Amino acid sequence: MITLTAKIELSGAYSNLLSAASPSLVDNAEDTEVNSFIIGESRLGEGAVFGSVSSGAITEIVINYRNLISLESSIFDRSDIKLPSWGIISNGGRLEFNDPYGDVKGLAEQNLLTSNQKAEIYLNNTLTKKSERIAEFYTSDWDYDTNNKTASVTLKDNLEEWQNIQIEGIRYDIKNQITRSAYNLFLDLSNFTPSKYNFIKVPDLDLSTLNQLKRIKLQYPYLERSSLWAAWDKLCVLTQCYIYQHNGKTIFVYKGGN
Amino acid sequence: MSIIIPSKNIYSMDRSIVAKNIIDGVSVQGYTPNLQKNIDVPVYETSQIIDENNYTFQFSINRDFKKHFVGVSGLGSYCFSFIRDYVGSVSLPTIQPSKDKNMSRILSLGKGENNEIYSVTLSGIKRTIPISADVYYKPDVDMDAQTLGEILYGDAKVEYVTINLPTEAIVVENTYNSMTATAVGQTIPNNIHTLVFEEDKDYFTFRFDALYGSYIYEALTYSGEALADVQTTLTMNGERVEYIATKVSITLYGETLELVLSDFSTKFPTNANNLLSVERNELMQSSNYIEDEDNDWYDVLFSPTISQYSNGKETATIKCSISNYYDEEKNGVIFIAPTPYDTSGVEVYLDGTNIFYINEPLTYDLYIDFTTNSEYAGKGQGTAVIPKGSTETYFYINDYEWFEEISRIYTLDEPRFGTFKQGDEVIPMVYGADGQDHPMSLYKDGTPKVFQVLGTKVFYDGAVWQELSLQEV
Repeated sequence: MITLTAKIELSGAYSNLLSAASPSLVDNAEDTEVNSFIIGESRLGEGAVFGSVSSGAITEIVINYRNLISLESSIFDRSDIKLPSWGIISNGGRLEFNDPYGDVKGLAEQNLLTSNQKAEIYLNNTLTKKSERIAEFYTSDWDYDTNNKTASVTLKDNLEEWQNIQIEGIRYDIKNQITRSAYNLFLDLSNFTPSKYNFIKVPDLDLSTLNQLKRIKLQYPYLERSSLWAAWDKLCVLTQCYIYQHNGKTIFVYKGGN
Repeated sequence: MSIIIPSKNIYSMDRSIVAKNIIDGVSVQGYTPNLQKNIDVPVYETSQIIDENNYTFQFSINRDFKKHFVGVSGLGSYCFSFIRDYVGSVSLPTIQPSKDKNMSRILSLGKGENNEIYSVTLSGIKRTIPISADVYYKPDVDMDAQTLGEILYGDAKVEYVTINLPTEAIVVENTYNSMTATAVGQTIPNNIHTLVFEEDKDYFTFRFDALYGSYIYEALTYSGEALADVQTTLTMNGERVEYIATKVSITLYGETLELVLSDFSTKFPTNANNLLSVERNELMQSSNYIEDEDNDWYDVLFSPTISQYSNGKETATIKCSISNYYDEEKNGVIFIAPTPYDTSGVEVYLDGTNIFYINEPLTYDLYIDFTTNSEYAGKGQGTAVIPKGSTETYFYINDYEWFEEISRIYTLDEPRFGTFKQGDEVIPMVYGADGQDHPMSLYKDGTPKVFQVLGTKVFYDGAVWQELSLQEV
């Protein structure tokens, strides 16, 4: 049987969450740094209070197929498969699940369900007992239906944050007519990109991407002050490349100009 | 390596065929004599018209240079060029007029208003080049009707193939350089990638895929009469279609300048220094531009870079299961390690059959040729039994000629399971009226069309599905 499971990390770790949950359903609650709380199976108990934060531990809620209503996870490298659409694309998904005992409602009422919480989606094969993480997103908007006791959340990657990161422009020495390749700009922009986005390193670029970056020569190049998103997007269009995120890694790739 | 998606795993298919041969991103260079500069010229409107015997490739350029000045160093060699990839395996030649290589005086654009549209038309002819192939094959056993059928459908042992190309073809198309170097009147067994026999009414088609050099992959098709049941040499004839540009027409102010192309270069552009079209480059350019009315004279040249983006690829969206898939490469390749006497292994190619369906056991008659193994040189026929789900097992040579019964090991890759990822190359199959799986789409040469996965959407609505967005490779 093929199933999907979603895990969402709560912001911080809440000790009362652990004490409220049935110890048998929490894996190694006393030792591990990851405490899983399975929606619909382990119970927080109504009115559970999540007040004190214990540092160093991660608490996550797990939604397995029993309470999963719908789940969608899209990862595209481009926005249009029929037309040239080089650039950055931000992917996402949506998750809807049952909350039979109102636990998630309790979390929501205490403002513990926020955006930018890490969400992972796993594909499970119960026959081979193999599990594969197929996507890593972050939560966006939560919605809770009190009548039907269902919760839903939209998922996104964190590339859109680049739109809010401003970088300084780069101006090269025009008088000396320095010729720069797109590869130089790639390196420069890589330096502007925070490490939290796991942007692909040069050694991990495939050969065709590397060649494409190096063979494009720019005369009189400059990069104006802009958002990180806009700068990368320019380079993508210039080099006919794509940027997208998959499983938490940010990929820069050239696909033959197609 | 392409991953086969069987029809039974596909539940819905939204297949759209994009109009072919629309060429986008044409790059045209201009040259300013006074400034000693080349400039890229914005290109508007491209079109390509192809009928049975002629084709026309047309694009228009806008002379609004000032706003789009870009310096390009080095004059290089100016030539007309066609996009290389045309349809399937058919390639277009690079055209380079020899009489005026510089071509700086083909068209002098006088002063005038901006936004003048120049129309450039490259027209040509379609022609076919006859090709023949001599196929020498040698059946190993006495043949009856049944074994003849096996030969026709892929179980034959072909000793070698000799391909004859007309000299004319060599001149026009450098795609064949590596091929003609080894193929004309010579034997090219090492270049043969696969050998496939297919039935086709009163005659059958012999097709082979050859590896040109180290990277060009071509397929040619020949038709001939049925094979005899004895060893023989067959001569099979076919033809290759090429589109040859013969004339360039440039229209300005209603007047047309024509250049007849009489000599063809065999040199393809290397794109070593990929000149960027202004439209793509303007965001990165210097804000400097030349403000000099006196220099408003340009010679229009044409960059060898025509289209980095050849749109017009077939696209499709399919919804399929998350289940077992298998690689195309599994078909017909068995690695045999004749242990314990020889651990080096021998590659055996079994052609034209899909023998490795991992989800059920298979018995397969195997024809083995150990001619590449000096120690155990010889041939034999055996039976391979592939248990369900196995990735490694033994089989025995039942009908051997030259050695004692020896266990052989073959290994299979594990079938692909789970979701696809961006960049995976797949061949979706559709269920045919004959009860067999057929590729969703074919190239013109009849080979299965390979699609690249551009997007995946995994979703759950009570069951787990995946939706793949595909574009022709």
